[in-house]
Amino acid sequence: MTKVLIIDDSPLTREFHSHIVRDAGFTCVTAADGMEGLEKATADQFQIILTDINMQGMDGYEFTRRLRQNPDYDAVPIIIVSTEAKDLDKQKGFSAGANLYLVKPTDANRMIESMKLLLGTR
Amino acid sequence: MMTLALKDFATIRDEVYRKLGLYFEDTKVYFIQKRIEKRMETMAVKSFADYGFLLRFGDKEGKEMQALANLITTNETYMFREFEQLQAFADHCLPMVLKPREAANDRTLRIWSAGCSSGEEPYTLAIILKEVMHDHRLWDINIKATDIDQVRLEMARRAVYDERSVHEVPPEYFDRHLTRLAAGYFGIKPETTKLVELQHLNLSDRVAMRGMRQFDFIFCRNVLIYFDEVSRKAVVDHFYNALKPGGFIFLGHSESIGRISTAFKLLRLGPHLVYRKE
Amino acid sequence: MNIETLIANLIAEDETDRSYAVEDLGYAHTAESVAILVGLLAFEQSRKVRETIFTALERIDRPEVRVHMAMLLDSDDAFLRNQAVAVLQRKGAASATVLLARMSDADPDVRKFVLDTAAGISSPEVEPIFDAAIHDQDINVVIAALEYLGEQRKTRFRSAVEKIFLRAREPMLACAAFAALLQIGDDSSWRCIRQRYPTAESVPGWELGWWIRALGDFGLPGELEVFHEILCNHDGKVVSDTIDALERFQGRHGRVAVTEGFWNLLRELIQAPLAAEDKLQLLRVVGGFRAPAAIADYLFSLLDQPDRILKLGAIEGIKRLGQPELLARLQSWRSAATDPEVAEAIGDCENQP
Repeated sequence: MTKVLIIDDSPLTREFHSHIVRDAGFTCVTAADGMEGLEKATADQFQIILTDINMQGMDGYEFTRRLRQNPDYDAVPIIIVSTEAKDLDKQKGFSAGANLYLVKPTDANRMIESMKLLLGTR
Repeated sequence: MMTLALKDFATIRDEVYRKLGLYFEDTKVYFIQKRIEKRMETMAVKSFADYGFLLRFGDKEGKEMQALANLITTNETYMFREFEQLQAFADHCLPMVLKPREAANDRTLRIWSAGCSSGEEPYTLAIILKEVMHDHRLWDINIKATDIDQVRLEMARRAVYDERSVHEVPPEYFDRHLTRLAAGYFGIKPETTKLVELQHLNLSDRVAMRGMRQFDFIFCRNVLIYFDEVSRKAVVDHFYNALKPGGFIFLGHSESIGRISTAFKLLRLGPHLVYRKE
Repeated sequence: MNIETLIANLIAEDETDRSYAVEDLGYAHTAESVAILVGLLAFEQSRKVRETIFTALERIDRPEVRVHMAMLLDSDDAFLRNQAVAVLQRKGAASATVLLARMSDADPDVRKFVLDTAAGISSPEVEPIFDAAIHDQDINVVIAALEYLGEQRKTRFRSAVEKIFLRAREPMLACAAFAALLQIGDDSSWRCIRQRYPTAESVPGWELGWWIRALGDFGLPGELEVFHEILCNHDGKVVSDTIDALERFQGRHGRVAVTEGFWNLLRELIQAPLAAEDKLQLLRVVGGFRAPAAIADYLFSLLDQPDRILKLGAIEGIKRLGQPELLARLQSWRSAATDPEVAEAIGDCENQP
């Protein structure tokens, strides 16, 4: 069963994404900031990660960078989901180690398709 | 009373995490619920959603949060408390520090038990070191145990404890490090207490805190929750400075340092998550 | 310590020395120290020291800090932005002026950060930011505004939220508006919700849980049968929400009469494989209806069944019926009870008024 980690400081977004993910047949765990996300990702193995960027404490870029240092997450797809749409932001996401950058508001179908695609290529 | 809907629990839990750095799993719903119900009765609040709202938006001075904190944390202290964490220390972290030290012929080990109260924690650490380090006599070991409370420090100096404080001491260590005294009390043997140096220290005293340097391990368990957010950050700042590179910091097992500072590195060692200064 | 030593330490090799120098600046409370601290951000590499810089800035109570933090809201560096938000939040109402100024920025990302900051400040002085945000051109700013004002129960936005709810096309916007309505709505909001989603069938996916909750919070006494329809057609996923909503519905309307058909369904549901807490709640709900004679008899019949959850739930339901003769009957049953938890649950009703 594919386990997804959803990191976002907005409870509504966490719920929204959780629903999308469960609808796609996956299970999910949520975290409210980068550090909590890192703890959960370190304590358990997830197959795909969805992360916001702007969160208190540790932001999504830093989370992505640090997670990539963990060999268990070398090849795990990380999708950034953020309100910021500039090319520079996307570039930063990819530099940090993300596989995909989606812009909010979330298009549920696009998110599910992207996740399945990324999981399929592994 | 209605059962605490997971959503309402999540709101309260997130707020506790935000303000105190304390994290509770979903499995702790019942435990938290009982304590929240007590607060709700005192504050005349009818629903869990309303209590969550009070915590988030109706508690400007943080008094309600502290009142809740006092209920959800146990003040009791006893030896070998939070055993799993001590296992992580003994089985994983200690070797990681000792090995290179030994290879470089630098046999010093410095530990700080911050907020040591009546001494159960530093003496626990002393016992662990003597048991785990077979060549401890060759090492220069110092466990600095500090507290702001002189009365507690005096109790630590006496190193005499009742049954409750020693009930978790592993049986095989008992006779090696404790002596049975009259009337159900136990003393820690001098051979063990000599590893511990007691000192009065206020964690908020930045001048005194700057004097604390070069530690390999810092233990500050279930202490920081009683500080406000700003003070907590300042204390953790000093802890970071007080550690040698590669040093470890241990807070209480429900406490998360990640909420306070992201400068530490998270490591997984076996089943344990620990934080380290790079 | 003199100024030269301090400055030397700010660029010292040792991270700890730099850290302490930064901390000292935080206690200096001068305009120069603010400028130096902000300037350091441009080249200080250590994450630890960078965090310490912000801790120091937080400590300095000067308008320059707020201005600099407000300027950092459009930084390319996410770390700087997020730290700036935290500092501004800590400064509270004093940050209102700079925040309001930045709320007219052309960049929607900046406006969202201003809103995020304001959401962490409880003060009437930041209210205009919410007013601006709810009418913002950018959908993400509006969505965030909806979430915040819902969480903070800002009821004055009710009609604005209702309008957004009715015309929202984007799913996340509709959800955000719906969630906000559940927090700040009133009975008139139920009309609005029914306008967009007249029946349970018309509600998309997981918003059904919210619709059911709205039914519980705002539904009219005559709408009890809607619960019946939902449970008839349910796929198991909404049972928990429905029982919850039913209890809230009862809380508002008192003892309403339940139809024969609904009563039959409820009895079937009681025997179905439900989560323990849902079953307990359902039995408590059963005790909240009118026509208690039939219900009382049914609940007492459950006490003889082996299932312990049913027993405990039945006790809850009987207590809820709240009739002295039933409580007495329960007491006399207690002597036959072998299960200590069950006996304890009954024992409680000695304290019932």
